[in-house]
Parts: sequence; C-alpha cells; structure tokens
Amino acid sequence: MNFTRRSKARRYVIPRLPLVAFIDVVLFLLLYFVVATSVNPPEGELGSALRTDSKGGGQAAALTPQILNVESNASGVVFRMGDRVVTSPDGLLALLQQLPKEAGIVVRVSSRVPVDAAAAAVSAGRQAGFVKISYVPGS
Amino acid sequence: MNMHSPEHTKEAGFDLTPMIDVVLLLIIFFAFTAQFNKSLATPVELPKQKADARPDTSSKQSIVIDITREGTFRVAGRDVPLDVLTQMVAADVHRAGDSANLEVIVRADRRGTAAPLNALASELTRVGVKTWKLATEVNAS
Repeated sequence: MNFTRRSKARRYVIPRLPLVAFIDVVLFLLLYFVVATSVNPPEGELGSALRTDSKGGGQAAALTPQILNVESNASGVVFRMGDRVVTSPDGLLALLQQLPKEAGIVVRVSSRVPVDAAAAAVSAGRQAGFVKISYVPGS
Repeated sequence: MNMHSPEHTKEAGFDLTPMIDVVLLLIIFFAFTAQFNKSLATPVELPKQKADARPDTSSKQSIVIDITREGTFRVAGRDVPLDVLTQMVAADVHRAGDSANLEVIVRADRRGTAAPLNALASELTRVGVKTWKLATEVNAS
C-alpha cells in the first residue's frame, strides 16, 4: 500500500536555471569592455601658483623668491638661475636641491621653449622640495 | 513498480529572455555613451615628468583645458578661442565665488611651444585665477 501523498513528492523537485544564455551575455559584456577600453597612462599634476611679471603696488615679501629662467639658445633649452646655467633636468634638480626652500621659486618660462621644458622645471622644483612654486609667463 | 508519475520530474525554470533583451539594450546604450565620452577627450602627448598623483577633488569645481601641439585650446573636445576661454573661466570663477574653489587643469602637448601656455597663464591671472595644475604623464619608472 502506498501511503505517501502526491503533494509531498513535489518537494523533491530540483529547480534548475538555464544559465547558458546568461553566461553568454556576461562573456559578451566582458569582451566588449576589454575591446572598448583604451589603456590611458595614469596622469599626474604639477601644481603651481600663477604670477605675472607686472610690477604691482603690493608690499614686498620678506623673502625674495629665487628666479629660474627657462630659455632656449642655439644648443637647445637651458635652465638659468642668475649666472648658473644647466642644460639637463638632472643638473637642474641638483642645483635646486642646494638652494633654501623657504622663499619659494619663480619659474619664468620663455615662449620659445617646449612645454616639456616648462613641466620639467616645475617638476624639478617640486622634487627639490620647494612648496611655493610660481609660474610666470616670459617673453 | 514505478511510484513516480511523469509530472513529478518536470523541471522548474525561469524565462530569461526578457532579461537578456534588457541586457542587450544596456550594452547598446553604453556603447553609444562610451563613444560620446571618448570624443570629449583630446588626445595630447603629456609631459613625462614626475608629479603628484591626481587627488580626489570632486568637491571642487574644475575646468580642464587641452592645448594641442599646434597651440589650439580645446575644452570638452571643442576648439575654443582664447578670448572665449577667458570669458568661460571668468564665469566659472564668478560662480565658484573664490578662485580657490576652482581647479584649473591644463593638459598641454609636450611637443608644442610654451607660447600658448604663457598666453593662457597671462589671461588666467588677469581674471583672478591664482593657481593651476599642469597635467603630466606619470612615468612608469
């Protein structure tokens, strides 16, 4: 005699999800994003203050910042501080590391030099430990 | 003696067809959006210098100015003359209340001359911008 009720037998039905289509879509999405993603190099920032060469009527600062000129001559880009001239970013970094940092530094960039040289000057100032860096557009 | 009737072995299933339809619709939407966003970024070769990592300044209002190798100013993928760009930045400074609340990021092509960079710096100073940030490509080394 079968005493088992039919309704109890239904408990043992295992539900199955047809996941094949879902996996297809997920793989398609993955493929799309892999193909569509452009690998951009990470970007950094060189922050600096902006100043002009105009003589304002403001009060003179207690500490006069050192002026770094970024210029070009026949041999290429040169970095000049007073009478000291260096031609490489490494030499510039070595020069800036010897200077006092409290007064800050003014980077005056000639319009004839490439942007890379301007960025190299600001970057060298940052690496040398200057906190106050001002960018001044030159002639 | 077979105690199971054929109706007990019937599998339960969900119909995934509407979900797949929606997912495909989403793919098409994002494909179009991605193309649109890509066109906003002007490809420029940034200076390869050591720099600070870009901080999270989402609370600040910011404007990104691209300068191409030829010296053209571009904002959000569109060429903008310098005088118009100056007006845009002046309006942003006015909206921000203080120039300290406005972040100006300049993405200049490293192969171009600094002349447009200097012209931009002069104009930004004139409208009250006190600081800016030069974008660089962070060296892998």
